[in-house]
Order: sequence, then structure tokens, then C-alpha cells
Amino acid sequence: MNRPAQAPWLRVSGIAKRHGQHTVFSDVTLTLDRGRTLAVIGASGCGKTTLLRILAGLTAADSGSVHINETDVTASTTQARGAVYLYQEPLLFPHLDVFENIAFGLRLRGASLSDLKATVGAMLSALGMHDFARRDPASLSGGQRQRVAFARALVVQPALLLLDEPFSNLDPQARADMQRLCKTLCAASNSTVVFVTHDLKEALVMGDSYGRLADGRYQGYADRAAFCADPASGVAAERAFWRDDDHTCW
Amino acid sequence: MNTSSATDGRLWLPLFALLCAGSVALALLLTLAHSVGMLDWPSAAGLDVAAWRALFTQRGFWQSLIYSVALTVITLCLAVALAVTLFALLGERVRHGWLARLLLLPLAVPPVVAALMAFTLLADSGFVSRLTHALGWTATPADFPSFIFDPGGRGIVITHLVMVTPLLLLLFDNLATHLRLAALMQQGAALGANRAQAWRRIALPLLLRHARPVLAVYGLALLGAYELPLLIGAAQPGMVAVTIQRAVAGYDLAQRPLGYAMASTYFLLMLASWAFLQLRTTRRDGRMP
Repeated sequence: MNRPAQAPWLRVSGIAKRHGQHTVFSDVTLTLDRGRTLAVIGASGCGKTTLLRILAGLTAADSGSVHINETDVTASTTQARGAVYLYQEPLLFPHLDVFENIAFGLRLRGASLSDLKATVGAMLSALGMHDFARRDPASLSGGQRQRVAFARALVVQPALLLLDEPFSNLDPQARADMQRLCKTLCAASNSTVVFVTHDLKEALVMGDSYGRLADGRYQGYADRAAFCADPASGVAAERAFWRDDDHTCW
Repeated sequence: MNTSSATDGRLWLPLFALLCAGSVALALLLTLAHSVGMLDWPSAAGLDVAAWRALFTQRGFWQSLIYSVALTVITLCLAVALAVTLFALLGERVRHGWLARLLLLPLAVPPVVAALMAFTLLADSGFVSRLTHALGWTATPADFPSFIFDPGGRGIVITHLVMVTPLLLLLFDNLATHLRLAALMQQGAALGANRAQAWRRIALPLLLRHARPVLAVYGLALLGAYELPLLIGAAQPGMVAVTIQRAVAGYDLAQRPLGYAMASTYFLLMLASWAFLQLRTTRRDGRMP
């Protein structure tokens, strides 16, 4: 592919969105290189999900453009963008078993049966869920369901993987496990990921670069050092809190 | 629940079950007794199986049963297709406003009234045939296809469709809410499915799978439909309930045991279908959420 070496995989320019009189955000501009993870942090209701849905092609922006791999996909469907969006809850298809849930996107893309079996089998092994292939989603724990949902999103090797607080409903241990698994599998498949969360620690764990949405404005940070150095990121305040010895009230 | 109401529950529930099962068993026993000539049982003397022999050697009842099954399957398939299409087009509007109230209207129309409406609208000299003639689509009103007393049963199917489709539409809407279909289809879209793929791979399998018990029970009810086939159906072939009624209540008293044999057979077939459905539902409930 003849692509300039420095050209970002994802390029978002001047995206704006309003709901009636309310401006959700304006002039969101960001770039993301292939195989990197952008962690976007912001309080509940700041427009993180709306931004992800615009990147996925599930919601139209009022203005601005989205380019993936130097192609303008602003008016394209989710399928044409090659993007996959993972919701906060697993939303597994209840009429399909674990294997068929993971195979869903591959079947849509016309994968052959042998490819499908090999790819889904490998993904199940990577998840440590090979014995669960023929289980109904209802028989899985919350963490297992989220793993399957994550596998279902990743198995199609999306051009852009959009994760909307996917681990927020999990207990701390399952959440830590999923963060590790997500990092490992995304790195192995060289996936380009936008990960939104309201959890500062999770953002720091998951991201290679960072963004912050607040008051309808987007602020990008190239790396962790830049993010941590900005007082508005909240990292400094968090550090100060944990340095303070006076937590005897706990 | 306090002790008194718990005791009442333990007492009344078996009594109610006994009454239901008991009345069904008693009705079946009496029908069987009548079919073997023991019309004044238990004082009857003889046992005559001629009616049963006739049932299995004559084709009338079986033709009628096959005809009823065919019309029922056609009606259900068309009603499901129509209801799914309307649900896909209307979405949440099924639930709100004037449309929701209008949908309930056919459910309130008794079958006898529906039959008379069908007669008024669809007969050779009915409103639609006159309209098509007035519009110049047919040379005479009689050129309009005969939907009433039609051996093909088209009038019965159309009228049943009008009565069943709103019910299925409401059922699908209810199931869609219960199954969170909108969220699942959005998840399908987020994985790259277009609207048609989301419907084919997510919505349809889920809706049909969960609607199956209701569809089966409704199918049994349609199979035994009486008023509509009696009033607007052809004399031959007749639907099964009409055929049985004609044999049992006809002028030829010799036909009555045959009518009761037909009724007993139909009764047993329905019981077997009901038992099969219960078994399937129990097995499925063990697997599904």
C-alpha cells in the first residue's frame, strides 16, 4: 500500500454534534496511528459514546470528517468502514451459542467454513474458553460474557475497534483480567482501538495516547507523560490523594 | 403469603386441575361411548364398531382434516409474514397512538361478524366485486374471483388473516421489548450487519423461536375454527369442525356414531399435539434463558 509513512490510520477533523439546542461537542480533531490505542476519558454525559458512535458510523455528525486509512468514510456505513463497536454490556445474541456469537461477524463477511472454524477456535483458545464453544450465553458468568463479546468484536480484525466502557459492569478482578486480555489480543492483532472510559486508572492502563472530553471540547495528548502533566487530566490530583497518609478514616 | 392463603392454594389448585382434566376426560369418554353406539350408556347393551370401521375406510374425515391443516398452515405462514413485515415497517408506532388502538379492533370482532363482513365485502356480488366493476377492472361483477364458498378456502384464509395478524403484531412487539431486540440489532449493526442481515440473522430467528408456542396454540385454534368455515366456506371440502358437526347434528341419525368417532379422533389428535407442545416447551425452557 502506498501510504505516506507518517499518515495516521484514523484522522478525525472538526467533528461537531448537537442535540437540539445542546452542543454535545464541537471541533473534535484527533489522529491515531495503526496498532495504537487511544483512551478517551470524560465524565458521564460528556459525549464519549456519541463520539464513538460517530466514528462507527452509527450516528451522523453535524459537521466534520472521518478518514480511515486515508479514505473519507464520513458518509459510510459501519460495515464499509470496517469498524466494530463494543457496547458497555455484552449483548450476546441469545439464540446463538458461544461459537456462533463469535462467528457472527465472520459469517457476515462471507468467511469460508474452514476459516471460520480455525479463526473462532483460535480465539476461543486465546480466551481460555475452548470448552465453552457450544454453551448458551445465558449459562455464562458476566466476565465470560464480556470475553465472548470482546472476542466477537476482535475476531473480524476490524480496521477500527471502538470500545465503549466495555468492562464497567465487571467486578474488579474480572475487570483487571479483561484489561490484560484486551491489551494482549489487540497488540497481537495490531488493532487500532479507541477506548472510552470514565475511569482514570483504566484509561492509563489501556491507552497509548489519550484524549479528554469536557465541556464540549476535546483535548488530545500524544503520550502518557503529556496526559499526566496536564492538571486537568486529574492524574496529579489522584497521585496527591494517594500520597497523603491521612486516610485513617477508612 | 400467609398460612391460610397457602392452604387455600393447596386445596383449590388440585381441585381446579381435577375439574379441568376431569371434564376433558369425561367428555372424551362419552364421545368414545357414543361413537360405539352406546348412546344411552351405561344402560346400553351392544357395542358397535361400524362407525370406527367407516371412519378408517371412508376418506371424508381425513380429507377434511388435511384441508383444515392446509388452510391453517397457509393462514399462519401468511399472517407471520405480514405481521413481521408490518412490525419491521412500523416499529415502535405499533405501541403508541391511534394505530395501537386500531390494531386492537379486529381482535374485538367475533368470528360470526367477521364472516358476515367477509360475505358483504368478498362475495361475487359484494362491495369489492362491484368496486372493481365500477373501476372497469372486470367486465361484470361476477368476473370477480369467488372468495366466498370457495373450495380453495381463500375467503376463510383472508378473513382469518385480518383477525390473526394484529394479534401477531402485538405479540412480536411484546417479544421485541422483552428480548431487547432493538439493542441486539444495533449490536448486529455495530458488528457490520446491514438492516436486512440484522433482520435475517437476529430479529427473525429470535421472534419466531419465542413466538412458536403461541403460534402453535393459535394454529390449533384455527384448525378447529367453526363459524367462519360454516358461514363462508365451501360445502365440500369442509373444515374439520364443520364436517364433524354436520355428521353429529345432521338429519341422518345413522351418521351420528361416525360423527362421534370423528370427534374422538380429532380430540385425541389435539391432545397429542398439546402434549407434544408441552414436551417441546419444557425441553426448550431447560435450554433457553
